[in-house]
Amino acid sequence: MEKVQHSKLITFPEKREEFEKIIGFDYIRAQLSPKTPFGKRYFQHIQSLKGEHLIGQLQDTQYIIQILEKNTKLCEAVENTLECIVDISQTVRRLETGEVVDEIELFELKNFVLTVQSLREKLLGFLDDKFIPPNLEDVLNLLDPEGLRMPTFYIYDLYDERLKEIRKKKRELNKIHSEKDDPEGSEMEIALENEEREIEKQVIERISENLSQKATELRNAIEKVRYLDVILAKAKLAVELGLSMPSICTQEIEDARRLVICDMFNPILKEKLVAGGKRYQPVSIEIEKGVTLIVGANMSGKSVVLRTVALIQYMAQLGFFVPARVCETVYFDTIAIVTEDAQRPLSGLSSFAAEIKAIDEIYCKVKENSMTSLNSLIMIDEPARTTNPHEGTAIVNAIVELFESVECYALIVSHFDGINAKRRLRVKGLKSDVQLSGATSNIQDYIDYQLIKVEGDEVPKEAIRVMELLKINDEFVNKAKEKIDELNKKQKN
Amino acid sequence: MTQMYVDDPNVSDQFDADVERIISSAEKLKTLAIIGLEKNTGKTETLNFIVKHLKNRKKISITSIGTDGEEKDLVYGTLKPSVYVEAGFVYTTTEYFFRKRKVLSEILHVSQQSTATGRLVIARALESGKVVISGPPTVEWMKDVVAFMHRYSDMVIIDGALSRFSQATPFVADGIILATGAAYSLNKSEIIKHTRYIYTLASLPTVDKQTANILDELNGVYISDGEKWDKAPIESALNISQLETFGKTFKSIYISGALTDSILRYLHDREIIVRDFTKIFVTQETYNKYKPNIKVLRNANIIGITVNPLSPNGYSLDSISIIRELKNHLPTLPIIDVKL
Repeated sequence: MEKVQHSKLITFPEKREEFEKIIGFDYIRAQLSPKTPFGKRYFQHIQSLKGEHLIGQLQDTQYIIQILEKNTKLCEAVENTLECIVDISQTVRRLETGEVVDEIELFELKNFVLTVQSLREKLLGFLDDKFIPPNLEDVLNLLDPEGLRMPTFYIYDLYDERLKEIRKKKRELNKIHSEKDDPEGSEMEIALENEEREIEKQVIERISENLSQKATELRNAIEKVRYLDVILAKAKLAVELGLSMPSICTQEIEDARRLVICDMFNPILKEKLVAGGKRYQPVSIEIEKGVTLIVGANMSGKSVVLRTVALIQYMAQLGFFVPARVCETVYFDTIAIVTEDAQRPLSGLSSFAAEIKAIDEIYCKVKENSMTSLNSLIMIDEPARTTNPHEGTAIVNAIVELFESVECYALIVSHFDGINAKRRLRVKGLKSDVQLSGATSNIQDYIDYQLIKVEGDEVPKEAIRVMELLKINDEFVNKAKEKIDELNKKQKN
Repeated sequence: MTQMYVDDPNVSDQFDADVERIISSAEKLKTLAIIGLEKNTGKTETLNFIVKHLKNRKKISITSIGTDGEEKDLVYGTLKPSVYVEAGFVYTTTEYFFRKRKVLSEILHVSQQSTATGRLVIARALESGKVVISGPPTVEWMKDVVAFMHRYSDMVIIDGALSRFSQATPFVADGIILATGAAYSLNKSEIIKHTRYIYTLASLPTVDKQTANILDELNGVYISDGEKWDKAPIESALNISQLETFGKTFKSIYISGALTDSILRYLHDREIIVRDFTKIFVTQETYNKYKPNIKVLRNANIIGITVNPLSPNGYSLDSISIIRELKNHLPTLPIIDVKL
């Protein structure tokens, strides 16, 4: 029988699409506004960057942000120019393989080159050389023998002396025709037409050949345009969402480095809260090598912490600025998150089975990674939450010990008591000064989402207070309190 | 002039006067749409007729309403309406036809979007000759194309597709010529009835300017009790029958989409507002039965009617008598036979 899965393992890079969805990168992507077909394609099939490329892109984004702030008008003009860029990559590919292109392609090529030249003029003297496309004057001369620099194209008379002559003759014959009101062409005209076609064909072959020698320059121009478009889109995103530059260590290092993320926020959640007139509380977290356990009451934002860390890490590796004031991290070859699939409802054992299989799978993967010294960041959201607390506690303890024994950074969220972990963070939880009388059902307003370091193995007991704040029936609340007292007495005995 | 006209100097004078009037109305337009009421109603003759009279006074652009069906016909060679252009004319065609063209043309624009026969090419003829006109298949795209062509010319002519008026909306074209004729029906009274009906729709009264401005912004179905406009509690006009179950009372209803027979049946006793006559897909029978109170945001400016007496199978109607009869019903409108 097919089992209902709702807790599952989603890893990057293997399941990129699902990973992007679960961590909220879809939202980030939707905010990006690249202007050129090249930029659009880049962000559709975005790849993880490594080493110098990654650092380079981050630094370039920083550089462009400064330009954006100083010279808004220039940036607007550049964006408008980029909007006019047409996709000529297919044509360039054809030129590279020595194919003959057609008039429409030449028209597009001319438009591209004119746009690039105009972009170049705008950028020269304002932007670092690395952003400036090559001078395509030679290519332009091939496509614009008249030197009018108009964004239009046809097989100009100047390409071949014979063309001018034939076309003149055609016009004369045409005139005689229209005077006679005879629409059909004479044999003479048809012969001229054929001759014209033949010469035009030769001209196009010649232009194609000449252009094929310029293919490298054209390719280079596409690259420059794409890079500028990508960095500009990233810079604008950073400004709009208030992102900052992460520091990401891409070299192999001997000593285990600590990940530090200060004042992180989840952009989509923040937008929703702000739209509802609320304030978003940024949260800070430090993650050391090994297992970090996060505990906290229900609704205390533990899952949001996991997903936001995953989002920040993912964005950093793609060379984006990140939604945190400070982010110091390392490069991970595998990022994995085991979490509830919000699309599917809970259902007993089958969900446990799916979850525990997922954890088993990622454990094997991490072990494999650590043997080949690949870095892994693992996030597990409330493992064993659907099973009884007795076995659940044992299982989570086992998970903590297992992941502590292999090389990885693991973040595990749990609300079970009695989990032993070296590092333990707790969501601060209900604010102590909450007035019961003024409380509404909006519990979120009364929670301090800060993560604080704690010792011991207990989780905060806030469920009863939450019940009170939610104005649950007194009878119910009092009964629950009685039962807790009974439990406590039992434990003491 | 044909023998027939020479025989009757009164008709001849009136004919000349009507030609003069159509041409002088057309000359004042920025965008003229030619709508053929059926196949072979002489749309192309009408286009060539206008072009012939205006080519020395105006820089002209020509586009057409693209339809998949028509393009397929073109590809399979069953239909090939080439249009004669002069040097300097701007026209639209698609990649497929541009590659086959014989007229030396300068490419001005190539679209990103594609049609059934490739991307749309806007070109300027550098010599005179016949070209295949093919245009954008959607109204939004047509708006962009028309705007682009206005940059290169004084006047844009839209060669309308058969029985598809959408791109001739007064929001795009500021003038329309109706082309009618024998191919629509060999029955003279049918031709006259149908032509009059289309004319009626095109001449529906407009709402006041303020209401037009409010409704122009809205998409969907809106109802009003005479003061303010509220979104109707239905998903689209297709669910119009559900309106009753909500027990809503309203005096007027605005439908931004198509008004069809089935929708009209539910609403015939209310004031119905549509964007313009191209949104009305009501059959003449239903219209006559209910005599609905329909208003438009913008009405169409029909500058004349052309009559083509020849049907494709060679049957010829007496255009003079059709013109005469149409004139009895529409006495102020210029009506001409372009074949004469």
